[in-house]
Amino acid sequence: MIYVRICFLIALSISSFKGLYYLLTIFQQEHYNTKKYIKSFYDFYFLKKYNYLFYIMVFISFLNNAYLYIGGMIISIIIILLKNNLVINLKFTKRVIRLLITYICLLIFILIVSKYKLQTLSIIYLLNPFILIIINFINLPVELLIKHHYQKKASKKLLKNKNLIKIAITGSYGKTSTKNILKNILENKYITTSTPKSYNTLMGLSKTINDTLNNQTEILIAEMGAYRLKEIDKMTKFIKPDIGVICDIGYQHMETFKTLENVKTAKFELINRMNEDTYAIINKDALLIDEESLKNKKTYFFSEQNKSGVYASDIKIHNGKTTFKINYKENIVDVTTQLLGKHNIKNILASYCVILALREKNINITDSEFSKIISNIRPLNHRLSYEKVDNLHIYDDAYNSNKNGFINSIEVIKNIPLKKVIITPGIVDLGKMTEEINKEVARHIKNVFDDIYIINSYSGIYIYKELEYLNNVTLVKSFKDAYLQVLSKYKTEEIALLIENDLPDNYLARRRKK
Amino acid sequence: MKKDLNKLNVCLIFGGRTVEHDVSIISCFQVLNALDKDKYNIELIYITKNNKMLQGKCLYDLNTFKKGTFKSTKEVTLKNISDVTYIIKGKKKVKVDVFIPVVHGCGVEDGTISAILDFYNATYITSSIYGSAVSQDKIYTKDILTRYGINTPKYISFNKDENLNKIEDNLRFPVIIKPARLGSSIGIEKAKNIDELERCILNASKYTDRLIIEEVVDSYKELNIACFKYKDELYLSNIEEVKTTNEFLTFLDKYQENKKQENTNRIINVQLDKSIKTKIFDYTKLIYNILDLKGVIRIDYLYDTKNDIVYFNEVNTIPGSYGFYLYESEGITFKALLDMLIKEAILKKAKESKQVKSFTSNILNSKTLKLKK
Repeated sequence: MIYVRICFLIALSISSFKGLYYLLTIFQQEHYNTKKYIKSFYDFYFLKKYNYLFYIMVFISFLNNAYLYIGGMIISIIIILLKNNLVINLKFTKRVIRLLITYICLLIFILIVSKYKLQTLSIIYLLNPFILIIINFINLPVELLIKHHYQKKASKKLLKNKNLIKIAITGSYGKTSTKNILKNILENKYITTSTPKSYNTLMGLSKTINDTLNNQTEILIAEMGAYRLKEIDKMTKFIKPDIGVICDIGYQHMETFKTLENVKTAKFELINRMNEDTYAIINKDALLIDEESLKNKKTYFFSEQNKSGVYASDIKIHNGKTTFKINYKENIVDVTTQLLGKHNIKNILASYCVILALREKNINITDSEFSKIISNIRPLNHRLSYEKVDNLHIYDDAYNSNKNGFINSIEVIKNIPLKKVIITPGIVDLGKMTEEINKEVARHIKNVFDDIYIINSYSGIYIYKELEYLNNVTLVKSFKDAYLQVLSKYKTEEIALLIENDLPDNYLARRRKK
Repeated sequence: MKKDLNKLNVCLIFGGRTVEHDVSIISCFQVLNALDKDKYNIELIYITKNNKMLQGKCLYDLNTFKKGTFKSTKEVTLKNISDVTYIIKGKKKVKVDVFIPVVHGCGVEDGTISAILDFYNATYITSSIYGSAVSQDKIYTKDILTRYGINTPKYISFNKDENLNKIEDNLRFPVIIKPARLGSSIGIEKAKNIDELERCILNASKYTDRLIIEEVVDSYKELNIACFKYKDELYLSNIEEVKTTNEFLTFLDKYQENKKQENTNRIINVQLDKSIKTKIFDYTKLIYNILDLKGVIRIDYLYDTKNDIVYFNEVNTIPGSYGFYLYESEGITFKALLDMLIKEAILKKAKESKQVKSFTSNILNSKTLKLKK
């Protein structure tokens, strides 16, 4: 009997890992933010099929019946075979491993204290979501120490490289694209290092500096992202940039920022914290600008809409390429680019401003060198990148997460002489603005596409409601569902497919209205 | 040699299964001495004559090589982890930012080392496989360069089993017989007539089947010049004349470890007509670009003084001592030369890493894929 019990115990534990894996993944995607993570609890307890099987196992653990135990083990096999259906998988980072170690220690501790009762174990597993919060809390001191150690190491390195030129880029959108453009321009002539895609936090910055910076590095390009106030201030203090770029101010991360005013304040923390005589590169078309902060800085303005500062003119789109002229005072530079969309014109203008500032620091990129490199830059994956797969002309803008980018992409697709299809879950993280902005986006979608697939989600539902009276709108469960439908409907016919905004799992989980 | 995390990690590779093994040891130590220790952490990988890669503290001492015992060394391999190249020594791994191959001769300089480094996605300061291989094979080099109008003595490729008539029919005596791919004057001999020719070919074929046979140039001067590219500009060195006691350069002539040029075999900054100098400069720049070379190379020319003609002789993609002595009079120190080569390698690698190297192919997913039986 005792052996059966032990086997059941093992089966119970292994089955619980499925849930634990899911919870860890969500926790990681939410950057270990407890508040956001808690929002996934309802889904976890009530909407995960395998959990219902798990509840049965928990129930069995309270009954002292060998046959039921065996039945439970069979159930556990089913649980193990069921899939988690996660869009992004768990990355086994050192932090995750530390959490798992603490979890196992806590488990063993509770087991010893409760004198190895099977029931205690199953209750713990049932409470896994909460336990994860506890162990994260326990690990906090260690995490802070590690963070601090890395940051100190990186600080030291920065101090050693006195001739290093530091460029910081922030803004509601366009950061990564602008950084990418600058990197392409500078790294041919100067030894350049930059933060890779998802490293736009202080930790990510430290890691980049620790791993790639050395005494030969001439330029550091740091992308700074923020969800709340004071984050950019901290990063600016840490790097002490020579050039600060604010790509744009807009409705991004509204759930934490709440107001546009806060977004402005957060982004301008960069300029405010920078020393005197540093360079500020500002988007003149931004919804809000902190003029005060620019007073003791050398400022370059760029504008896509008006003829002021560094601006674009003679914009033409032909054959998948955009050509335009960059105007600055009396100087004109002809530019051709494969990057699609008006927002990329803005990003190129911002980069040109940085080049102008760099010339004053003895980093010389001529106008013709600039043009030449711009014409060779290909779009980043998932940032309105183009790929032809059999009969589908796919315009993948999955990483876009803002209204302007969305609208710009639609502009690009509009003039393509093929049938057009769109798959999108709408725009997320807009807080109170979710309804209004998604409705606006819906109006732009309305007359452009032959087929519209909306992924059922908190944001997508607003687009669907605006458009459901049309006969070409379908509500789908997931991106995969939509894609399969497109493939079966358009077997050989050539179409343009626009993929807008992809979603991490937690948003898919939050389908209920607030 | 304490490691500073702020310094660039460079790794010198030298030795190898080649006839010029010992020479590369000397070159390597010259490079080692010249490298700026404030800028770089320096690793050494020594390749034995059996092509084993070794590391060890004793390798930093020239005496180790004089004695020939490598007991305290350990065998290492290279590894690519997330596009960063590491030296794997047991359980330890050491990141290398830039490799500095100091290898001479067929078997290493011919692109073999470049291929290994490319395979592990390493950054290195010398030419890639293509430039190296073409430059190592004298026939390939001349076939390509003559197409661009560069002068070279009349030559033919010759396989040791071929009929001697081929030589008589195409060239006039005296001729010079060389193994096509070996370097540093090994197996090279002159023949004034058929009998001598037969003997020379027999001798040369000890080393290889593939030979190049050229007409001997009358009363020539051997002129060498080095060249490297840095930030899209070509930097030409001084032209040196190499004199020799024998009829042509012997192995011994070439490799005398003399830092100060007291060696009267070499004359730096030789007096030449401006037109000849210009010809050499133009040829050199052209060749560097045609063969798609990288790093510092040395080109050897034969200047026919009687008929006033400059002939291309050969390219060395990794010249002895990195040709530093040719640049000193131009105001570029060995230290500075290495700094520029290292920087250029990093910049070029950044450029190349943007280009697509492989595809996720749709072939395997294609609905129509069927394997024919």
